[in-house]
Amino acid sequence: MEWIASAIGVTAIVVAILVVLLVRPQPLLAPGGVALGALLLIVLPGAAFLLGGAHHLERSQSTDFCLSCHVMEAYGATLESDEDILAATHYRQRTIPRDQACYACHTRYTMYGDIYAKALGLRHLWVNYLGEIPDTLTLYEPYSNRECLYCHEGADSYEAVEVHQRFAEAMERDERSCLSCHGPAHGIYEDLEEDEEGADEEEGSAPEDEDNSASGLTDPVGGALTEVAP
Amino acid sequence: MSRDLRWSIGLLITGLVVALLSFLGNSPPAFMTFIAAGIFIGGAGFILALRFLMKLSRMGSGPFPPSRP
Repeated sequence: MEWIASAIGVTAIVVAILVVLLVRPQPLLAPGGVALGALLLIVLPGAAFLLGGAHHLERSQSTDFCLSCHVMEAYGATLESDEDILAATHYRQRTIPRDQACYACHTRYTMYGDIYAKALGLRHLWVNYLGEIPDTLTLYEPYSNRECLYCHEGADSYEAVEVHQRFAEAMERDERSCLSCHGPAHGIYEDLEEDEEGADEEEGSAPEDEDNSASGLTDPVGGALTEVAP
Repeated sequence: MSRDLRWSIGLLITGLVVALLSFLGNSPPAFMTFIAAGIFIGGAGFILALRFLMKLSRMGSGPFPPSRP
C-alpha cells in the first residue's frame, strides 16, 4: 500500500509537468535545456514507471489478484474448504498469510523467484486471453519441496516427525515429494473424478480411467509430484 | 519544438496516464494495462534516444555513428 501513494503522486506530477512542457516548451529550448530535458523526460518518467512497477508487483502477490480470474475460482474455493486438503489446512490455520495465500506456495524461494513467478503469471495471461485454457490445469513443472521446506524446515513440529528426519536428504533433492504423503494440494480433480465415476456408475458402465489417482491426475499440483515421487 | 520531441512528450503523457489508469484495478488486466503503459513510455524513450544519436552524428564526433574522415 505504501507504493501506491508515491506511484500515483509522482506519475500525476510528471504528467502535469509534461503537459505544461508540451504547451510551453521554452525551458527545454533555452541554454541548459538538455539537462532539464533529461530530468523531465527520462529521469522522472523512469522513476514514476519503476514506482508503478513496484506497486503492481506487490499487488500481484495478493490472493484477490490471483482469484480475480474465473479459472482460479475453484482453487480459491478450496482455500476455504472444511476438508482436510493441504491448501485449506494452511489457510485455515493461518500458516500462510491469507492475503498472499496463492503466492506463499506458488512463488519460488530463490534469488529471482519473484521474477520467475511473475514471468509464469504473464504466461498464464497469454493463455487466458490469447490461447486455449486446458480442461485440466497442471503446473508447468513438478512442485519442488524447496517451497515447503522454506517454512517447515527447522520448525519443531516438522523436525519432531521421524519420517521427515529419515527422508530429509531425499526430500531436499526432490526425490521424495512432500505431497506424496500430504497431498492433494487442492483436490479439485479428485472431486471431479468422483462425480464422473458416480455418473458412470449410474449409467451402468465402468469408469474409463480407474488408475487416475495413481497416475497423478487427481490433482494438478499433487499429481505432478506423485509422478516424480518414487 | 521539433516534431520528434513533441511525439516523445506525447507518448510519455499517454503512457503515464495509462499507468495511472492501471492503478485503479487489482487484477491481471490492470497488470496488462501497466505493461501497455510501459510500451508507450519505452516508445518515447526510443524516440529520445534516436534524437540524441542523431544530434551526436551531426556534431561529427562521438561514439555512434563513427565520424567520417
